[in-house]
Amino acid sequence: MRHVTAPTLPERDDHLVARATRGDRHALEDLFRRYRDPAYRVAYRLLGNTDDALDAVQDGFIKALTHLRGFEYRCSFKTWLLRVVSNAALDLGRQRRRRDELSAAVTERTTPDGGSTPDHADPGREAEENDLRRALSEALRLLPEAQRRTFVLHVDGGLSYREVAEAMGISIGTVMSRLFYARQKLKGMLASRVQV
Amino acid sequence: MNARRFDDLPPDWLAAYADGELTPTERARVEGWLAQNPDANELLDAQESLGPRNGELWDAVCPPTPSLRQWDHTFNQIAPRTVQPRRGWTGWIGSVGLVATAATLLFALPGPQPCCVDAPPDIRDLSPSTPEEEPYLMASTEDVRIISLPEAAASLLIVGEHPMGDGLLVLADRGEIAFLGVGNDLAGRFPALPDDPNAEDAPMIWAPRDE
Repeated sequence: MRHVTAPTLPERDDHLVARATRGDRHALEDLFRRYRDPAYRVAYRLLGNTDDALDAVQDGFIKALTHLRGFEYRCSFKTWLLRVVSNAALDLGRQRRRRDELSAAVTERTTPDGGSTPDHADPGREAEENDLRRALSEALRLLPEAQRRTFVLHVDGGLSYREVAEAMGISIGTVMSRLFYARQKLKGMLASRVQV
Repeated sequence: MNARRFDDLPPDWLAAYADGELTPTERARVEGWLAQNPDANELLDAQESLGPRNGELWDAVCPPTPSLRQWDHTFNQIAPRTVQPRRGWTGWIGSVGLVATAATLLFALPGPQPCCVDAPPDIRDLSPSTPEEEPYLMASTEDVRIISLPEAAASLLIVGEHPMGDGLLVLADRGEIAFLGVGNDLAGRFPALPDDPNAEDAPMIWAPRDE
């Protein structure tokens, strides 16, 4: 006789947050696994390298969970987390600029401690993609901070217009406008590298 | 829908169109506008090529994947600073003792207890005393859904009728509000305010103009 097990629904974020803040390490781990990837992508795109991005993710998770009074479930936990992570990434970027290390950050660093780019059988294509990633990184860096953050939260964080608006405390119209102008500028800077 | 309205379409609608963030009606409006303005397809191209739906681009430029060791290291830095260990029985005994001491001191104090009040704190009666002080109604009860109302914010979010009695409560009076700027909403209605607040397409927050 075949036993059929009903699929387990993932636990709701607010339940996990409540358990995590009560000291449940497993709940914290579940939350971390659920949202570490979008948080890392957002931080990486704002900072340009893995080590700094992971620092921003770490800082963001800590602040998101220890400053829940600012959250109060007015938006999803993901929106709240990405708001805090993007703030942490921008703060880190400013500190780094103050240390006059911008030039080192613009160039994509390899990650000798284990980070890896996707595997490629074709080294030519890999080089092309690294080149495109560097070009995108530099183009993003030239955008005004508000446009850059809006763009990254939408594209890399996967937030809808409404969620980006909630995360940044702006109107949906402003999100739309920033995304439009950010893409116009990026398209101009990246010229023919980017195709539909 | 006429040609005049298409001419008024702000180009930044193309971002929302490319991202699938418009309603079917709004999409139809953009498509009509694009049909009449073929030059705008170049603008649309930039929106589509750098939008999240261009999976080929984002696959190509995805960030390097952190190793398991890096993820573990990151999590291990987070856990001790967010997770407070559960209290053991000695901690509970200490808490019970503290509460008992506090209660004893509180009830030993003479006179009325400061914690006993009839109304929530800090709710101000802003009913107009003169016609000049007539409040701005920012929204009706139906327009507002309060998702969360922590105790600390109770004095800041009073909209509509008083929950504990008669009389009107308002969010703020005229002197307490300053509009720093009004952006377009998705339907492009701001910054122009409607003359008729009861119109079907009137925005949620509306205030009459000064006479």
